[in-house]
Amino acid sequence: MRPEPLLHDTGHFLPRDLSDQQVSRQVFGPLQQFPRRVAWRWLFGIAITLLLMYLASATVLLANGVGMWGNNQPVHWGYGILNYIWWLGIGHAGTFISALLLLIERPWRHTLNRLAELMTLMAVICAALYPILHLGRPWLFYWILPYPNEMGLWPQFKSPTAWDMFAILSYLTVSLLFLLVGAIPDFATARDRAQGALRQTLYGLMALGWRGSQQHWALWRSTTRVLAMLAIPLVFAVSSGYSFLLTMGPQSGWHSTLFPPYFVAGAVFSGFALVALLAIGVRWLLHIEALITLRHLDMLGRLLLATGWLTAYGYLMDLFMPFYSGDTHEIEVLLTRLSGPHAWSFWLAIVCNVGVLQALWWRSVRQRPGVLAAVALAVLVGMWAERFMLVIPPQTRDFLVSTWGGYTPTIWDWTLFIGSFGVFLLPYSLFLRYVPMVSAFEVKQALHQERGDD
Amino acid sequence: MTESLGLLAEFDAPQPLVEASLHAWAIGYRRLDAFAPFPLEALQPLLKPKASRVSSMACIGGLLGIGLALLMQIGSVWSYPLNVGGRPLIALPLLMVVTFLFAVVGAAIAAVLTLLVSSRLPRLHHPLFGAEGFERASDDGFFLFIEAGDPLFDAQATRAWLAERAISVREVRP
Repeated sequence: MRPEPLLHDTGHFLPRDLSDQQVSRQVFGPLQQFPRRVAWRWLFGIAITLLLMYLASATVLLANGVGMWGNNQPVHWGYGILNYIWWLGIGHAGTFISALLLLIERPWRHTLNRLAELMTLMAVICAALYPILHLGRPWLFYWILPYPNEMGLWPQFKSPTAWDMFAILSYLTVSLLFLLVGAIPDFATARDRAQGALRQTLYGLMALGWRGSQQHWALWRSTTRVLAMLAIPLVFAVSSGYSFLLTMGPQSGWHSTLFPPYFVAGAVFSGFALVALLAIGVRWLLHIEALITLRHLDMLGRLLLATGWLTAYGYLMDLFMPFYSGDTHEIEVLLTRLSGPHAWSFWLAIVCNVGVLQALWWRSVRQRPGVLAAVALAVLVGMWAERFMLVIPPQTRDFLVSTWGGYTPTIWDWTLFIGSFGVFLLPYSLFLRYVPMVSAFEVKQALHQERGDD
Repeated sequence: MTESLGLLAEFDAPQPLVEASLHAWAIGYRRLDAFAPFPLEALQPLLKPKASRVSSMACIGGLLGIGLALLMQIGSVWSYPLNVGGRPLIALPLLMVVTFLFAVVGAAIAAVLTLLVSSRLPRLHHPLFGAEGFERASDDGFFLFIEAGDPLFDAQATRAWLAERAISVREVRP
C-alpha cells in the first residue's frame, strides 16, 4: 500500500512559493485586526473566571492554612505536589521543540516554537506557584533562598527540595531568555508595521532597537544556539530533579532509579499533548492554517506517539521491577496501585496514555485537527492520572500497617487546580492578541533557503 | 547642511544583496553592513569573528557560575556545620546538581549579555531608522549600507557603484 501524497513536500511543510509579505501578513495581521474576536472574548472570559476561582481558592487557603486541602497523615503530598509535577512536565515540550529541533535544523519547527515557548513559560509559572502555596506561610518563601540572615542559617544544599527550587528558577530564567532573545526580531517587525504611537513605542522597547544588521544577526545566531544547547540538558536536569524529590527517600514505589528518565519521558509526552492542543487552537483563532499546516499537526502526532511509547516503557519497567526485586513491600505498593482504592488512576493512565494513543498510528487521525485534539486531551488527562498514581498510592501504604490510610482531595484542591488553568490561559490569551505567535523571520529564512535564493 | 553618514542601497531580494556585499568587500570596502529580515548565511564569514565571542563568553559565564555555586554551598557548611546522617560536610556528589544549574544560568546570562554589549543594544534610536523605507528591513526589504567613514568612500563614485546594482540609493543623515 502506498502512503498518501504529502501535503507540502518541503522541509518547512509550507507552500514553496509563499512570499515574505504573505508570511508577514499572516503573522502580524492578527496584532492589528484579530480574525476571531468573538471566540477570543469567550476564551478571555473563561480565563478570567478561572483566574478568579484560583485567586479565591488561594485566599481561602491563605486564610485557613493547608488544612483546607486533603493532605493529612499519612498522605502529606497531595495535589500540591502532583499538580506541580504535572504542570512543570508540560513545560518541557516547549523547550524541546524550540531548542532540540533548532539544533538539529528542522525548519518546520519555526511555526511552532513561539507558541510552545510561551506555553513553557506559563506552565512553569503555574507549577512554581504550587510549592509556594504549599509552604503554608508563602510570605516567608524567601527562607528557602540563600540569603545572609541574623540566625546564620543557610538552605540545606544536600536536599532535593533545595535542588528543586534552584531547578525551577534556572529553568524559568533560561526559558525566558530564550523566548525573549528569539522574539527580538519579530518585535522589530511588529514595531515597523504598527499603526499607533503606543504600539510603536511598546513593540519598539521590546525590540531593543533591532535593525536587522547582519553583524547583529551573526551574534544573534550564536546566542540562540548557545541558549538552545544550554536549555536541552536543563530539561533533563529539571525533570530528573523533581523525580529526586520522590526517589531520594526510602518510600517503596518511589525509591527507584527508573524515575528520572521515566519522568523526563512523561514530561515531554504531556507537553507535546498540550503543544498539539494549542497549535490546533492557535491556528484556528489566528486563522493561520496556511502556516501551521496539517503536516505540522501530523508531525506533532508522531512525536506524541513516540514519546508515549517511551512513557509506556516506563510503565512496563515500573510493573516489572517490584517483582524482580522480590521486596514484599514494593510488591504490596504496586498491587495497591493496580487494585487499591486509587486503582482508577493507574487504569485511566493506561487507557489514555497507552490505549487511546494508538489511534495516532493512522495518518487520517493525525491530520484531522478535531480528532488529534481529542487524543491530546486524553493524553493530558492520562498524564494527570499517571502523576496521581505515582504520587498518592505509595503514601497510603507505609511500612507499618498501622500507618496505612486513605486520601480524598477536598473541593479546595479541585478549585485551585481548575483555577490554575486561568493562570495559564489569561496571559496566553493576551499573548495571542499582542505577541507575534509565529517566528516570522525564521519562516521567511526557511522559505528562502528551500527556494535556494538567499 | 549636515554631514552625510553614508549611503543606503535597497535591493528587492536577498541574493543581489549578498552579491553586492561580497563584491563591495572584495573591492576593499570595510565599513559596510547589510540589513535583512533574517540572517544571510553567505555573509557570515565577513562578520564571524565578532560572533564567536558569544560561545567563549558563555564558557566564562559557566565557569563563574560553577565557582559561585561551590562557594555558596561550601561556604554555607563552613559557616554553619550541619551533620546530616554522618555524611561529609562537603559531599561533592550532592553539590553537583546546584553547581550544574548555576553553570547553565551563568552561561546563558553571559551569552545574552555578550549579544547585547557586542551589538550595542538596546538603544532607543539610530540614524538609519530615519531613512525612507528602512522599516522594510524587518519585513521584506534588503539593504546595504556603506559608511561615509570608509577610506574608499566617495560620495559620487560609491553612489554610482551602488546604483548599478540596487533598485534605489539614499543618503543617510543624522
